[in-house]
Amino acid sequence: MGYSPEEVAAAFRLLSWATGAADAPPTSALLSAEGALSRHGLVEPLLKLPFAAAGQALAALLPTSPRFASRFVSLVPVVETALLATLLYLWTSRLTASPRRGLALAVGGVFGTLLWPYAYCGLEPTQALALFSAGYLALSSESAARGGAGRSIAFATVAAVAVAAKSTGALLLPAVAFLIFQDCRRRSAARPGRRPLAVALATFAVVVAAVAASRGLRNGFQPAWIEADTLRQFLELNPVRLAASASMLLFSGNKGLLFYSPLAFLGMVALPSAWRSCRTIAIFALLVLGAVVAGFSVVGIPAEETWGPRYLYCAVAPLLVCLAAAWGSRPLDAPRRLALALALVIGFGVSALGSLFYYGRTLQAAQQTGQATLEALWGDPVWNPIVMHLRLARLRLAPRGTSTVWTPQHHWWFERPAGMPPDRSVDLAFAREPQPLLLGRGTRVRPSARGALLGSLLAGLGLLIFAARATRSETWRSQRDPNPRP
Amino acid sequence: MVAAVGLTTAGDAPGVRALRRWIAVALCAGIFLVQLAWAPLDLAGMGYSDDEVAASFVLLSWLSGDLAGAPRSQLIGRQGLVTAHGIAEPIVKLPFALAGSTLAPLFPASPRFAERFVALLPLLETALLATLLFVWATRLTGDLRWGLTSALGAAFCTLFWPYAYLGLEPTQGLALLATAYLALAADSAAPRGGSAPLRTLGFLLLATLTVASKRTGWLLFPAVAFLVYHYFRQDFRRRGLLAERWKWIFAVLAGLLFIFAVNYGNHLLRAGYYSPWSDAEFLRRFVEKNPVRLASHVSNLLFSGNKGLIVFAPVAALALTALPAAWRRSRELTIFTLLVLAGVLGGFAVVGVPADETWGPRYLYCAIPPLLLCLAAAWGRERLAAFRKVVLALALLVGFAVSALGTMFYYGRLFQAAEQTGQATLEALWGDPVWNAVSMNLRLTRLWLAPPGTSTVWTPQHKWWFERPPNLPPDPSVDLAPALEPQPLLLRRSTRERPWLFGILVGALASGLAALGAAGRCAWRTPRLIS
Repeated sequence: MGYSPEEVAAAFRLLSWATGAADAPPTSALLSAEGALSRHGLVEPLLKLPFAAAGQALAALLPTSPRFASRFVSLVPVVETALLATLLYLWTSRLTASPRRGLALAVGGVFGTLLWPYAYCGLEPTQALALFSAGYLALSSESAARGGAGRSIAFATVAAVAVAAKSTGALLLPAVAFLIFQDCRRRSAARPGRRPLAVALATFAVVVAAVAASRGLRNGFQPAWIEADTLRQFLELNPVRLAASASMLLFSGNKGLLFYSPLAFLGMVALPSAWRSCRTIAIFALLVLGAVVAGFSVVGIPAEETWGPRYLYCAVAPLLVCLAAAWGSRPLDAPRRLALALALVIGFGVSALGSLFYYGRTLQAAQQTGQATLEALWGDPVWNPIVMHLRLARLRLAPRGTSTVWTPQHHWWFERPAGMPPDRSVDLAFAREPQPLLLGRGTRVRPSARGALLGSLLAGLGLLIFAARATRSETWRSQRDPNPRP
Repeated sequence: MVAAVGLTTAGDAPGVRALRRWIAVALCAGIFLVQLAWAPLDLAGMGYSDDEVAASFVLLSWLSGDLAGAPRSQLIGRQGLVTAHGIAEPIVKLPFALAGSTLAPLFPASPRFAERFVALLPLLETALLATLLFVWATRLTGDLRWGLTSALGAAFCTLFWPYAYLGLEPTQGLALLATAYLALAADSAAPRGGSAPLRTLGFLLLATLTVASKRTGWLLFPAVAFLVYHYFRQDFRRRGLLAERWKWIFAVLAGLLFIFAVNYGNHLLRAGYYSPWSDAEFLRRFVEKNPVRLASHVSNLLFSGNKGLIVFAPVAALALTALPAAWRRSRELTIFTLLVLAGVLGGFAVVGVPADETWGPRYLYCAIPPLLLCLAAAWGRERLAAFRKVVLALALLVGFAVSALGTMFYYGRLFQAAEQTGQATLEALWGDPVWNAVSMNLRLTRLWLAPPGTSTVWTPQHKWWFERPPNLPPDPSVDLAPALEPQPLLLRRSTRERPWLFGILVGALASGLAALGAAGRCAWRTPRLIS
């Protein structure tokens, strides 16, 4: 799962060091690649630390599962995704004055966008949760009304985590600065004086310090020139290619938000309307989306082998809030209902496919056929990950004996060049094993694991159904705004 | 409808009509002359335009009796009267072939004069298209400035400009817009005296030409059927005969049958050029049924950097965002636009070749005028907000730059380079940023402007993720020197050696710009026709 194993390993080394275990790295090497650092710094290992500790504590109870502790840490992105969805529910149900709509957006957000595959992949949820929490604390009227020291510390912390969790976190500085500004404005409106400004300046100082510290720590993991070299190698200044990269991130079949998070795309379409109804939220979403799209276009790697436009992950939740702000509490007309239903159905289909197989299968097949270029992953329909996962799903369901050999063929226009070697094929048999443990063959022989997973599924579905029923209750209806915003 | 009501009071005032007519003439002449000055004046190598020019000369010979006694197989087969798309385009080109042949003896030094003369046809069609757009947009908005912006935006800031030299699309695009104008533009369908039957015949011929001018014309059949329905419904309503439902339904069906019959005849003629199974074989080879790839094709045609409307005609892409507003204000026009767009997008996505080696999303050419009209309908009736002004200006600016790049070099240079480096696949042309046509023409422009001695060798390099496979042969390079010759005659070295030709082209440019300047000045000094 990308560089997640690095972060997990760093968390365990940090735990060893903290507990004084025999295999602990020396204190002098703690802030290095052999210590508690990952390529993105210290934030992720620190966040994973409690789960590493709990995993290690529980591992003794399950001696048959030697990798239990590290598997336990993989719960972090799952918990983060659930928290993100919960926050999304709180914010959108307030904006729409409809818990039902809030629930639809939160559940749709989780199961109909990138959020679902990345709950298993990791890499993105920490930053997105921190950013969204900062947005919620600064912009949601409910939270802004409560202005204690604890809230200020929480806001500064999540804002700092948002920019320091990843090496590219600095791209989010404009959005975070805007949140600090808005927070200061709200505090000033509630309690005029110098204190709000002082809090804002202190928060900003913490955020800047976090960026600087993150940069310094990253240098401990790998020399600064490696980052500079990557930039030099990939940096894109051609305006046409910059525009093409931006367009690819939003619209393309291989990597576009339109395909991988259609609900968030609807939020993008609703931005003008959100601008009119709730300008601060629209500005926040625009700053996040604009910075990520523009930043990664310039960096020259707007997307890679992972599932969909992963760098846009952190923009998904703000865009869903925009959708809620734009649609408000008024009843949806038929075209909007249709668009919403379509986005949910397509998003669910695509995300389910994304979670069904390991995302790296497309790249592995491309590597085995000698076609693993970034350009192929970005724009070649032959290497469309959704189509690849659909192919794998079909092969998985196909009767035994079905050939699993696939040849990635291109349409030569007009003639195939003479003397060209034949297209290389790849046997996809290795890629058919589904990613979810529940569907894996290994789980079938372990009734306890299977039972636990099935129980979890049923309990989860039951809770979601219960929540959906609760949103229909009379209590909610009586609290609903009698004069919905037009 | 609102605009129509408004225009019956303000738009039909004699002074306004004369002014509009004057601007239309100046606009048409200006666009034609400016595009002429920048033209290569040669359809050789421009897709299948060659075939059409040759067929029009064969048709001319046949009509003048030079081919009397020639076997039928020769007339109908390849190098005969028909092309891959039938006989419509050769017939349209016939008057130009005739005029070219007549004038050719006056230019003995130019052995290809007659053929070059036929290259004026797409230029004229583009100018007429833009003029019709001006007239319709002015009617819709009651504002000459909007009309002029739409027309000039279409002519110089979209695919229209490169395709004025390339051909292939303008005939169908013009026929479709003219048909729509007759059917939807409020007062144009009104019979004046005894002209109603002639008008109806003209309408049906244009509708037929729309469908029959290309073999994929049937994709526009739903849009054309809508226009036929609307035309006859309006016609019968105006004559107070709408109550006689069977009569107008019969008229609609008869009209559609006429279009269908002519198209079928054209299809039979085409069989001499392409056997019917070759169409089927092509479909079998390319047809796409995977829903993800279908959706991806549609997205590619609208938004991709390599083939997207958003890059090659940004002002038309802007109109996509204005469709909901246009739906509220001009429903018939919006339905027509959606039918055109859906027919072309859906059809070419399923056919499996949504775009080829030509410039931009050429199959969307015919959707650009309706989209611009939708933009005019949505935005043109009120004062534009600053944000919209900025977006519109940006779209026009980007569109102009991209289209100008598209006219600078022969569109096939990119494909030739791809062929020479063994990468000429449709997938590369659709989605590989290394094979972006705009980037390539930018590269060629830079090389063209570079001091002598600058290396013209280019290696199309890809970014391997993560490692370049071992034992892979080095990326082949291509020398772009042969591609550096610009397409416009005006910029070519050979033209500088012919002062009279250079003079004519510069004169055309200057007079065209003067005509456009005069039209612009006139439009900007005139207050809105509808307050």
